[in-house]
Amino acid sequence: MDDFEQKLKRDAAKLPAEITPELEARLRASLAAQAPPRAARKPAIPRRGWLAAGLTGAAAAVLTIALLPREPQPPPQPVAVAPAARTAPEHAATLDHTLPLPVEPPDLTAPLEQELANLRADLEQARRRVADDMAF
Amino acid sequence: MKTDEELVTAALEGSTPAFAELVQRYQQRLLRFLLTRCATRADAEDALQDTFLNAYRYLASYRPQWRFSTWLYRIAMRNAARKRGGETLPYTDCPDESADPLAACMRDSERDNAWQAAGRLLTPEAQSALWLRYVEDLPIREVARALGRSQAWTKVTLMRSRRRLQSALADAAAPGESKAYG
Repeated sequence: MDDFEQKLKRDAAKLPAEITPELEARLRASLAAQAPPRAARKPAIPRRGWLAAGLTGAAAAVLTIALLPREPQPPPQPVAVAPAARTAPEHAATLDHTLPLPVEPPDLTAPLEQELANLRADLEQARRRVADDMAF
Repeated sequence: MKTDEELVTAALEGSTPAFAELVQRYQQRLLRFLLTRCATRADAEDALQDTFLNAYRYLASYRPQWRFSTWLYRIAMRNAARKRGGETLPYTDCPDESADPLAACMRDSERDNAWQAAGRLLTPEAQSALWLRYVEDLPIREVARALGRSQAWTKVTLMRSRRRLQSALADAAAPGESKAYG
């Protein structure tokens, strides 16, 4: 402790802080009028109790799940599988054509207008062939 | 001799003499401290009474990981601040010495009291930090706790306050000649 710290302590002791009998009586009286302090309230269920209650609950849940009678499961029904969608050429190949028309998958590289024009031209060509066949 | 914490436990179990023992232990120390923080002696005595009442009422909220004195001084500081109406003195403000309660009740031979100078030169918070550290010998951690500040803030405040007070006391002791304590 250096000189300054000693001076601070010394000067603090010099402060006129005597407790007069009146002050002491006043302090005693004010405390006597006060209700005694109570210890902090403990929780209704202590922590250990919470743990035990939790474990019991978990065990009960497991037992219930294990012991519950299980209804027999129905045998699995065959699932009706919808026929896979086929592309137009595949579908055309399966048909029994009287007129074997060459069906090609459209080449979708051109713009849509061009594709439509091509389709119309193909259709017209097919119509003519049918008309020729009928005339023959 | 029982420790403060043992007395607190006994008081919480309903022992009135245990709390009376705590009051005996701290009443003079606290009054001394409050005299440096309040405007008048009457205010300091009121703050002392409020401090013990609050401590008794809320004793159950005391946590033993801190010293009992730290907790008690924290309550005392609040009560003193309430008495002062939250007034804090700026560092440079030197109020009229005749209005100083310490000056009024101290003899002329004691006019160079460091705490009287501290009351004029330092903020109440800085003054409290010095008191708790050097009069109550509380470690920095406890001082910081009592002030509700960080340890870093407390260290810096202590260093600055100490330097300022030393310089002022040295100037008062020998005007024109600098004397450093420590």
